[in-house]
Amino acid sequence: MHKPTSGHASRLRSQAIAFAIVRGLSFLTIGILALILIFIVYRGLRYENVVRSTVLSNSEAAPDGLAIVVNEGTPLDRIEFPVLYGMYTDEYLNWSKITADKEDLVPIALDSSTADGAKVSRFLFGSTPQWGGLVETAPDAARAIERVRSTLGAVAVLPAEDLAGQKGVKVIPLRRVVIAANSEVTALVENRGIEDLSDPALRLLMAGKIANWKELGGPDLAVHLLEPPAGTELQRVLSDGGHSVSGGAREKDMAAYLAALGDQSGSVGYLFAGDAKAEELPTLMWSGTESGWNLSLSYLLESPGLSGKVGGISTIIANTFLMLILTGLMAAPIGVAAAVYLVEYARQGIMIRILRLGTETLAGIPSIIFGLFGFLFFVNILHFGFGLLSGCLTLTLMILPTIVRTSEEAMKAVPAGLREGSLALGATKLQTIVRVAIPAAAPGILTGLILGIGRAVGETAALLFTMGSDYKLAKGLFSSARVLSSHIYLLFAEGISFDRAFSTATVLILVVVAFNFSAKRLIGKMGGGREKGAKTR
Amino acid sequence: MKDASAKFDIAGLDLWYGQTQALKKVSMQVGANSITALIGPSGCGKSTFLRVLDRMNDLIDGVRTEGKVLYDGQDIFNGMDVIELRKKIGMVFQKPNPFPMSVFDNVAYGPRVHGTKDRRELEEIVERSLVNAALFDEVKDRLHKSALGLSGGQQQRLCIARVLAVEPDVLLMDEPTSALDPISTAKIENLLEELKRRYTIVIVTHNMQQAGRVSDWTGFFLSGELLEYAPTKDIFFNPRDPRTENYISGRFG
Amino acid sequence: MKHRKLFERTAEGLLFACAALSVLAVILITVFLFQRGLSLFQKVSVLEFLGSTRWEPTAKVPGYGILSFIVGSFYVTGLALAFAVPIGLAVGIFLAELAEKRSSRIIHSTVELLAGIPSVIYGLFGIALISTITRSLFGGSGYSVLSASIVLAIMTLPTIISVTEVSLRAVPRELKEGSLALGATHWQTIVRVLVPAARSGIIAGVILGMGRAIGETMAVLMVGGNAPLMPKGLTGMVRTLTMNIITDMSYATGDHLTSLFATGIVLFVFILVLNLTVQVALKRSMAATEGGGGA
Repeated sequence: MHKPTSGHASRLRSQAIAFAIVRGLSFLTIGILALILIFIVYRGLRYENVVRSTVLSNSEAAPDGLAIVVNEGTPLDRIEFPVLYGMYTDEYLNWSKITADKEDLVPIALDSSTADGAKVSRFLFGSTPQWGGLVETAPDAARAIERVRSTLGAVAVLPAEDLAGQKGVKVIPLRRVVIAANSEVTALVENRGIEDLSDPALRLLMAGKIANWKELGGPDLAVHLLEPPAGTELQRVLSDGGHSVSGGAREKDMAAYLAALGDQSGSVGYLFAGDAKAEELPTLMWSGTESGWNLSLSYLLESPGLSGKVGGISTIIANTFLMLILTGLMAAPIGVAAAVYLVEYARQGIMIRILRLGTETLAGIPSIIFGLFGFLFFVNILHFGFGLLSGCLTLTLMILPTIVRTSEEAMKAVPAGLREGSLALGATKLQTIVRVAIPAAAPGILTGLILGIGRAVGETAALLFTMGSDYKLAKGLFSSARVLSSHIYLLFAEGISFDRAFSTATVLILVVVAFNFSAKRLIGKMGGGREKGAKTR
Repeated sequence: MKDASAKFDIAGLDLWYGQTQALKKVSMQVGANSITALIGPSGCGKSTFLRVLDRMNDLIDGVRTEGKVLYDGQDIFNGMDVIELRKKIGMVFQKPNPFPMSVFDNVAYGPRVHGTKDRRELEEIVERSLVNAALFDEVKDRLHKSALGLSGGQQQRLCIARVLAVEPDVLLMDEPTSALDPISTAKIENLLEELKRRYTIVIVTHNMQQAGRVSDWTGFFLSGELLEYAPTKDIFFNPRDPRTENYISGRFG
Repeated sequence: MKHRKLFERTAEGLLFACAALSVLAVILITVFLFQRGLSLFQKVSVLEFLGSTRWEPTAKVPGYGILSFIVGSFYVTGLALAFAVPIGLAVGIFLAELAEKRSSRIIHSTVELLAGIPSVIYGLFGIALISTITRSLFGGSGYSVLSASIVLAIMTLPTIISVTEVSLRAVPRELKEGSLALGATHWQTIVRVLVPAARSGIIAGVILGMGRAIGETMAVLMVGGNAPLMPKGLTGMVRTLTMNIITDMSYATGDHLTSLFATGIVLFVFILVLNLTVQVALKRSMAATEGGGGA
């Protein structure tokens, strides 16, 4: 009797499809957010760069009992052999091409007449020393270390055992393995020659899987792969760095290995840069991706230099918090006072409509307009200049509507009985508001403040032309200050570093999430409080 | 009334909202083509009971029912499709709830969702339903204007027309006149007399006179229990339970 | 006693001043923006400013036409809404009608977080991921109308979702019950009754989102390409009004600077019009739901 009609089944089917789509789109938004967060945080924490270099990555090793030492303040965590060589041959006058610092370069060498000095000379130049004019000579290791400790731009190559336990200086690893090849490989014959090897190509080559150089775009020449002689320093460094060679010819010792590289046509093999230089063997460039940790504790704690190209973001974090505190100090009292007036004093009518309309309109104005206004009014007309004060005043206007609206809701939620109780005890209206109504609404007001400040912390467009972009610690209200959000933009816009922009973004996201989370906790508490209040009544 | 032709046969119906029991062991039979009135003080469970009959309580979280409700001999909780059930059993609510669309679209809504697309057919259904709901003459010139512009009484009759348009078998009415003025109420009561010929009607009301005037059978609910269920004149003039008498006389006196 | 009264009076005055600050700020912003920007029209006609696409403020014969940027703003915003509205509606419906407590909580937190992420981070995300994807799928530089609108769509989603949910929840329960009682399925009830009843509120939300999108600066600046030309196709570069202001602000002087304030006026007027539309739409939506409650 009650058989479902045929249209009925199709209706249910289309409902099922529609619900599936709606559900799918909903979870898509979660997916998008997760994607954004994970992507930014991941890129902030890790970097992955294409590098092109003569020396291999993961080939750091102290050279035969020697170590490279620099002043502790030098932002350098490893060095490549060609750079070190350049330092001792007057190729660099200061650090600008190396770390972008303006410091003068002071290369220090031990007296070549000592045993250690001779060792360093051999290590850098092989049989024919070519010391540059800048190089300072130190009589012994202790004097050299003292000089490095006291000079920011100094660098020295010293016996490793003399450096144990020294403070104020740091030992940095050296990358010094190159790909050496017979000169016929790199020579341009009929426009075919090899200069570069990509990472995958290098891997194939070193696994003995490439028979002829023309497979890699080189000359028509058989590949003669050489494995490093067993038991040598070279072999040890290579296996430590994961650069294995297989399927090649084995020579009995280093001398034979070097001879084979020089004489055997088409030969190729790993070699220390110093040896390659000494033997005048051509080397091939290597290109590949390099990854590692990006956001480190030192990034948070060091102060920035060169527009953020070096150093960390400590002063920028400090500026951000200065800005938030100052903005909060200005916006909170005004916002709460405005809410108090709207809830407790204003009568329904044209006045309150105008006040509400003002708040609504202010809330809808885009930040770039606030930026224009701040630039015009605070920076130019009031002569505050680009600085903390102009920026914070602009931000105060921006976040005012959020604070007013949330505080208003919180004040309205205070039960009338509380106020009446206080008034009945003879308190004045103002006393009642200050002592009863505002404390009762405090969690709501605080939530509004946190939401407002959470908006301020991410603001960029309104700040670029009001607060300035000096990345040093702000010294006063009128001092130009760069904050996290503008730092991210400027790192990107000035083409300084994408990786650093991402690391800064990760910090900013963490701050925003922290604000969000605490606001949520407060809202949760408020709800709980209300329920309890309702029960006791 | 103990016969097989009963529209509804309810046996031992219990219903809980979470921990609170709202209906306790309710058993009754509702005869076809009759008007059954359900009376009782506020919160006695009469509206809840009415909402069981077309399973509107399914929409509320934490509602649990036990017992049997047979509609034309079929268990409405078992093996019966809720949408089919609601198509057969129309419901008119306490507050008129016209949709924010035109009068025509309101009445055509039911047939449309059930698959009627033909314009001519829809027009016929709308006109017939409005005529049957005694509203057609009042709205025939403004069929395509918003239903929200009608008076309260007109809106309620529109809601009745909207229910009639899906050609139901039973009409459930939850205090249909409580929000209306006396003239509108009278119109709707007259309408009920008309409708009784073709439909089985169950009406919840607070208004004793209304129950006395329109219904054939009356059930008196108190604290979730069906205290007394009998032909209306018996309930009003010869109640068996003293509590029924108290309630009715208290209301009348 | 007199003292106390005076004190209370002064306090009330101070409170009023704080409440009036928002109004004062709006007035100041309007006055200064117009006063600074309108002087451009002593040299350039309004028609040329709004109707020309020649933007060469530093040329010998400078050109101050912002038509391309107006078109760019609306192009990017429109496309963003085309992406965001269907998704936002679906999520709003899901939250109001379908979600169980747990998934509703997760989505709510998600939406709040999406709303809280600073635009400069959206920009960074846009360059690193969205541009890369659009570049590999559709070619071009990746800095394009398409990339900018995808980023903007993500940014406007929270507004549209929450307004849709709130409007749907504000629809009186009686309407939903009335529809279900007629034997309509849940989906039919949503599409034919609930969404139409919540229409004004939803439209207000979409306009609100549109205002946000038109005023957005940093994110579009980073992914839009910023070429001061009429946008060509989805993969072409685009410059919006906001981008025009912020790009040239760093070096503009004289008439050029004035023209940026004039650009600000155009943006400001668009935003005000949208805001007023929202207010009107919300009022209508309130009236509609009250009427729907049936009195």
